[in-house]
Amino acid sequence: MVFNSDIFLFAFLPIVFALFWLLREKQARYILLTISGYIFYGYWDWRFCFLMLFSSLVSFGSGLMIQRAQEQRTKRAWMIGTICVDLALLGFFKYYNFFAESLHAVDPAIAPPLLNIILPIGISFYTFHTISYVVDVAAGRVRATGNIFEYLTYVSLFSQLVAGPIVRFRQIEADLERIDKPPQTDQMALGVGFFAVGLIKKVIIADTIARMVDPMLANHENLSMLGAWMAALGYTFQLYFDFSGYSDMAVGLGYLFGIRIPQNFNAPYRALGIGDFWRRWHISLSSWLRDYLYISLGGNRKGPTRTNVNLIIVMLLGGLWHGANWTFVIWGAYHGLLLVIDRALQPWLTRWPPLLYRWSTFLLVIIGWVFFRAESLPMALDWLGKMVGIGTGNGDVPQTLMVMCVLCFVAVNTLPETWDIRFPKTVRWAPVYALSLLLAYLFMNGANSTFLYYQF
Amino acid sequence: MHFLRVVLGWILVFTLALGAVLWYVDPRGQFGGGRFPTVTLDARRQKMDLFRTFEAQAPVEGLILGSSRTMKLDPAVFSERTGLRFFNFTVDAAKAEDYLSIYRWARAQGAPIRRVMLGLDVEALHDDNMYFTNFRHNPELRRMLSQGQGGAALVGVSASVSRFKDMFTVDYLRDTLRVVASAARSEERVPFMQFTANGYLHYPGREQQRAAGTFDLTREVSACLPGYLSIYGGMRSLSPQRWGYIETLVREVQQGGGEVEIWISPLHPATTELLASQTRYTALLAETRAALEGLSRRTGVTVRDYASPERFGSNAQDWYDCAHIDNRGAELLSSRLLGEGEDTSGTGRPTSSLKTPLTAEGSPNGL
Repeated sequence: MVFNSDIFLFAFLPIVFALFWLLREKQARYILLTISGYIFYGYWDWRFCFLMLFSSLVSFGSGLMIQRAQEQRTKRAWMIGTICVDLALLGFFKYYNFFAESLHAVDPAIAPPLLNIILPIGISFYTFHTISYVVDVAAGRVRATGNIFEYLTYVSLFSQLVAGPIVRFRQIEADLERIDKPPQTDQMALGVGFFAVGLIKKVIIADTIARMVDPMLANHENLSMLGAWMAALGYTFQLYFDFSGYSDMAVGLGYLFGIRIPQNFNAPYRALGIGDFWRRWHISLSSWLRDYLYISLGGNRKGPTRTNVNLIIVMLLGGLWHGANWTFVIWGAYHGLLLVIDRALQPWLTRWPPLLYRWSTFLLVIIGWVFFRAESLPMALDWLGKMVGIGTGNGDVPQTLMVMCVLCFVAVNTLPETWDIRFPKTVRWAPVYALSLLLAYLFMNGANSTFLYYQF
Repeated sequence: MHFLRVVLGWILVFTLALGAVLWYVDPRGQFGGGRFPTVTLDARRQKMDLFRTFEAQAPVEGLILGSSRTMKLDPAVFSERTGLRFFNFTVDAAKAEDYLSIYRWARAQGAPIRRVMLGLDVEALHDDNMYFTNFRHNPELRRMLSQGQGGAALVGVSASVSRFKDMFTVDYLRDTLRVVASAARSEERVPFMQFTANGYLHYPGREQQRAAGTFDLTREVSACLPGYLSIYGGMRSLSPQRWGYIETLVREVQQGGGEVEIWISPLHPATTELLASQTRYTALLAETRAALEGLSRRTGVTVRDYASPERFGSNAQDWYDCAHIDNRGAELLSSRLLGEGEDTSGTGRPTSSLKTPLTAEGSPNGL
């Protein structure tokens, strides 16, 4: 089920919302949110609900065992065991065929057989949820919950289940604890405001750009030099407005149920340097990778060389997390290298005029998105080649795309992020919210679109 | 909660207000207002009205079915050659469900159909199984499709809900603004398409341009290609459900004592070339040919392959755009369908069953 679908907007959400506010008991609300999370997930393929339930039960039980364990070794053993189970599931469903195919290309004799594996939607997200939980419990950063439904609510919360943000238990624990409290007016306004802005970003901006960029890339052999740049720029904005739109909607839905979901974007295309970009883009993922991977590898505590190696490892795995494809590995490696260079040249780069530094960062990000979007390495190389004038075709560039790109460029450089908007909370503003939602619906109705991050 | 209730209240107010404006202006002529010009054509509704009148004058015995790609076949020519009274009941973006439901609907009007000529588009068997908007909104045709399955009332409700829901799109709003602006300027526009009483199609604007020598075929072909790329871009296979409708149609016509003739409708060579390079069109066309061959063997219906213009003696110039043949193309096609011109059977009439497999390299006559 997607947020921008009739079934979600006119059936699922109103029913769950009405039941949520009818049921006053904390436990009843947990159960309702858990069931609704599983319905939301099972609407895509009910069989994979069992996979999510298994992963949740393992980490819930493990959390309790870690909590009870007296010795640090035992805690560590439970934590590692759970992480292994989670990564085994993720590895099998997401990466088995990738590695089998890669080995097959090297030597068919040593390659395992290819299996017809369906990638369970959202597995990358809920696996990271459960891993962060057991690690935090083992590190003493959070107390393991003994309430199974509170935990299942956390993992299966439909607003962030299939495409993030990656929320840690400790970030919403307090809200889950007081979920039986009555609604607050300001939260409803924030919920509606965030949801409306997110829906507008998705259906009016991202989907409009996608309708022009997708056909260009489907026929990428014909891209002219201008076309190659406009396709890259268009996708740069499409991805941002699509994913930040989704994140805004997730935040808005969270508010409607009294749960504050953390910020996932902070004007990333205004970043000064790649390091700054990763502090602003998909914040929940980059901070997860920092806290649970980079720091575990030693972070920057073991000297400059090890720091650089750690950065590259983290970005490589971050790339691979997005998808089992060499394009994502290269995209991750590219960002890892940029991070290393950015760190090395910091003293010099910071003396640049800020606008020049910002736009050169933006340019490097655009080039990276080519690998992120390309369906294969040959396509990425062909596309990049055309951007520098090699092998260009004579395909047209829609004028609307150019106009959209200019407007988006101005918008991402000047307009406030959704989190910086002070959403009016008085009913005088209700007509504005209503009109925004209706306008977004006019664009959404009948269009068939899903979110880009669903595939990850 | 109070805030949310007020927002929802305003949404309701705005929705009702907008709905009232859209309904009043009725830019697509769906609600029978007639106060403003319409911007798009719903051939299903128009042809149902035309058919009722035509049938009231004298019984219709022959039906031409298909999509807009077959609209240029003149039923008068078919009537003259066969002695049967023909009506061209081709409709925009027709899919297999249209063919079957239109035939049933025509029979339900009392028409003694003895011959059905079906111009089959490969995309009529699209595996998306999604109803085209104008079919989805048409309760009478939809009821015909679910004939004997019950739930007729639900079909009507579903069609009405769908019609009202589909008003709330940005395209519909744009159409509304266009017709209001057009009416305000008192513009007298030449209609894009116009049907005669027997369902035959005229393109008044294009015909005027042809006469004045200003028609730009190259531009029209280019403008139309992206639409076909989009249709076939998402088509992976033939829909078994839709193929079932074709089989049911053939069976019902034959049970009613009638004959069915099916041909694969043509595309402009530029369209075929583009689709072949960027979509599964070639494979889908081959699957359609194989399916028709099987159908012909089982039921004895006449099938022909007119997927490309040279197969009926036409060429790349006899077109209005990338998929719609012009008058000359239509005359050539009609002539072949009626067994005139080159015919390998030598009988001057179409064969009653398929003797030769349908292949891309078939004779210019089709089979």
